[in-house]
Amino acid sequence: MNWLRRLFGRITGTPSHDVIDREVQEEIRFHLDMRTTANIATGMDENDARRAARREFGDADLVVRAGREILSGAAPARDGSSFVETLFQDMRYGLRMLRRYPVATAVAILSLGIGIGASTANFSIVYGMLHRPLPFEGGDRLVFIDAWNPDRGDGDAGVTWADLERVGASGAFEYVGAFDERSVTVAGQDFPERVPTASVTPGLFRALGVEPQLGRLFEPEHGTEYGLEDVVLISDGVWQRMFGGNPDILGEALLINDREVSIIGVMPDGFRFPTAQQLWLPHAPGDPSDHQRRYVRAVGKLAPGVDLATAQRQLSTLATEVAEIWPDTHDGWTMRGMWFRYGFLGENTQQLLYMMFAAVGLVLLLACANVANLQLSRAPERQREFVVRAALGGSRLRLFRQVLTESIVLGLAGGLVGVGVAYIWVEALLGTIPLVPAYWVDIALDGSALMYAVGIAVGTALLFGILPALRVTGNEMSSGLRDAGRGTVAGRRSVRSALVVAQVALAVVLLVGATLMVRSFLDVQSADPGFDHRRLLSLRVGLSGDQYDDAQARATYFEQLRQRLTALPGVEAAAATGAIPADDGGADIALVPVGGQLSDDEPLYATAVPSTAGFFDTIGVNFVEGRDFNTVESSDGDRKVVIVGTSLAQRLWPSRSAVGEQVRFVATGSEYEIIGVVPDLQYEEFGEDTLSARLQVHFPYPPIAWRSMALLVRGRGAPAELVDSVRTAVAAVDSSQAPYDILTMTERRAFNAWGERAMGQSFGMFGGLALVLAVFGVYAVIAHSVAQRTREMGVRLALGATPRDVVRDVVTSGAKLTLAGVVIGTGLAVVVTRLLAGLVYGVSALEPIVLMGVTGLLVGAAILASLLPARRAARVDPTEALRAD
Amino acid sequence: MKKTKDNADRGDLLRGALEMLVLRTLDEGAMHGFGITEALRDRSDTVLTVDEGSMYPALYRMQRRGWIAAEWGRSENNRRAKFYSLTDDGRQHLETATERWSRFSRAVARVMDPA
Repeated sequence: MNWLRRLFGRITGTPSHDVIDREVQEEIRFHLDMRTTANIATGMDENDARRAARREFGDADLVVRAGREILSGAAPARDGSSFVETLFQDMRYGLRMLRRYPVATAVAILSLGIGIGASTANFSIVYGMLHRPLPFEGGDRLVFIDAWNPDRGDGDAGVTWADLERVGASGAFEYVGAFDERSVTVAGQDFPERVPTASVTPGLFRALGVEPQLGRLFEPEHGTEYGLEDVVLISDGVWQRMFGGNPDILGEALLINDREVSIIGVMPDGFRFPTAQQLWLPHAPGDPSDHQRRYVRAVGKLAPGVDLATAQRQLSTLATEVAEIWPDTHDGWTMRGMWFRYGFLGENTQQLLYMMFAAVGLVLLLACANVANLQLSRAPERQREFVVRAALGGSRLRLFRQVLTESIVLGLAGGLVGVGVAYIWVEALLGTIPLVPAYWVDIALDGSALMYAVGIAVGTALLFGILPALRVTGNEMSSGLRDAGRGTVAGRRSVRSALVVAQVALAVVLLVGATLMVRSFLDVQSADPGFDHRRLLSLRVGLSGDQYDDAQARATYFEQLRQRLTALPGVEAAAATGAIPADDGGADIALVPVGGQLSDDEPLYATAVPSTAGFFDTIGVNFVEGRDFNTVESSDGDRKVVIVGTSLAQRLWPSRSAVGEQVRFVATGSEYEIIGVVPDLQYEEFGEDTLSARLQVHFPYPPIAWRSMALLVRGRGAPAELVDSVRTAVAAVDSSQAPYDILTMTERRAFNAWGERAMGQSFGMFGGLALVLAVFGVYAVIAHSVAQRTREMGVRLALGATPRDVVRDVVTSGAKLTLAGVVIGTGLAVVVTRLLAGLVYGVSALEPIVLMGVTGLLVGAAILASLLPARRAARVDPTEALRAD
Repeated sequence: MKKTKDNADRGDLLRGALEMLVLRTLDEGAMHGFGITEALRDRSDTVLTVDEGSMYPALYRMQRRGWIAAEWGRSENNRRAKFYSLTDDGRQHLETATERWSRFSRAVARVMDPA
């Protein structure tokens, strides 16, 4: 641009910028020298004389700029330049102004950078998890349909085929189907592999608008009972890995659970519906008259023009209708529609993420308040400059625009830093995610996140820029020249104080939130699962193959495996169990005590878990009373004995021993004798307890005999070192079975506590940032008011006040602001805590101790922050102070 | 909006006055910027003091309008300095402005002191 202007200058005879700048600078130099000489003549020493000359001259930059604009003809005598030209001028000028206050600018950019960075990172998370379009057609119309029974406190139970038949006919859905996530054992080239698989009703993929890249989709006649499927669709990954991308794959057999299944198609690259699946089997079409078995995991695609609320009303109506037809199976049950993605992310996720988003918004507000404060503290100085400029012909609108442009430059600079902060933040977060919940969750700093960053950078700039812009160009504009703006200090101080009070209030809210979140995480981490989780390795085996259709064969397999694992060097004990504590929930079972007051119509719902011999030894649980299963009971399904947890025992026999009592299971009608009582175990993940999960019944393996069991191995040393020998042992018992999900219990806990940890870390960070920003705000306001009140301090010291009085006064004014903020913040925190209570593990109400801690922290920090300026005030030399103004 | 207009007018008045004073000073002969500030300061008994720097943009603007001309010369202490002198246009503008000013100040005086 510069060469263009020079060329233009040469043609028109207008001097170039360089020449003008040089001449104006020389002229200013001359002026300053002359004034200095004149000052020396009045008796000043040379340095003072020069300093005074500069002061009297005012803003030399401004003169150079005016000279350039006026003399080059770029800006005619009046405002008339183009919008864009002005904008660039303003931005250049803005940058120069920012450079002139390097510390204030750095603080402002850093505050904004942190605020914008945190917001952008959170936007990426929220967008990636909740709003990024699902990678299949109509993903935004896909709904899970499940059932729940409020009386039993049960969440997500399945619906029956009879229910689904009616839902399909209701017209609210274009398509209804079912799918189930499972895993199967596939014979690989070297060793069997456990592969995540989904059974889907044949029409589901068509409803999702997915086409295979090779072959064809399921047809209705393909639908088959579990384990009897004869066709399979494979993922691109399996195709490449197992078959080298061979195009002649169609019709080839894949050995799934020891059965030959024919490949009919390859799904497109990147398709892993619903979460991370690699194989798809055709789900059996249900019997539309089956209203007994609540096992269907139903999905529906909303009909065009139907929203979720409408569909939900239909579902509720239908639930009432079916309850009238089959009261025995449907009384108390209702049906519920839930967006597809929440079925995998958990219902609380949305609220928690939005909560986090709100928290981050508060941090950003705090940052804005700081920047506005900084700008306001510069206002008197700026005002003088603007009075001069207005006198020279700048219109008020023009000056207003100038200040706003400066703010936007500041905002964009903060945005730039923010993107860096967001990048680090997102990377750090992704590093801690043990497992992405589904393939369509994609957390990345992409175009939409960058757009968001720019958007909030400009938005916040307007937010923190408007107030100072109004102030600077406000009504005192032409009230005076040299001393403009000094008379309005008090008014400005009250605005700034209000900002600080608001900051402290927000900080209280954030710190209380942070404390609760961090505590929730620590609670989850340290919560007692009811057993010793150290030195414990866990893995799963799901028996595949016809030879295990027989329950006795399964019992033999697990007994052999248990003995082999127990015999391994370095292993103390081992057992198989139906559910891994603190991870899997068990199976619900309805029971009544024999001879007790409960009837079969209103039974007690409990959690049933089968386990092999050695289970209680392995997890390290001591019996409260009674004994463990003996070898006969552990292998013979006809011995009807159970062990119960203490809660169940106390619930049914509060005043006497449960050992020797009998319970009857409603489903089978059979009666079992209680032979022992053990402490309650935590089966569900922490924070996911249901009413029945605390009431536990332990069965020996044979009467339940699931195909899929978990194995727990207690080592003498670090459990991770046992992985290889455990794999070998599993292969030695039956080489066609694939162990999977091999983790130490400590790892498993960390996995399950991931959400709490991420929330705890994020909120801890927000709280820390809030504290820093608020304390900085208090410091800035106190420091500024001290600087403004130098003369007053001087007078007071001259009149006999001690430095101690002055310090006390300054510190008191800081503490007052902080306390006002704390009072307002406490009110807000009570509300916020109530919102968090239902969502976060272990959070109930705002405890006084938390509030006291937060208050103490803030007030203490604020006092420290005002101590620094207070001591400066106390050191004021009265004579200096009186002359300074 | 009303307020904005008032302020702009007041700014205009101030600007016009400053220009008139500068032109009057230069009427007595070419002078550099520092000299002009000194003259203004002396004659107004330092009542009219602005940031000295703000004088210069006013000078540049009048130069652009052709009321004054600038030329590099030697100052009284033999330094290179830019001297401003009144042009014919400038002299004419000064006359009109002076005329308008005295009419205005007479009017103000009559209102303030109706004797």
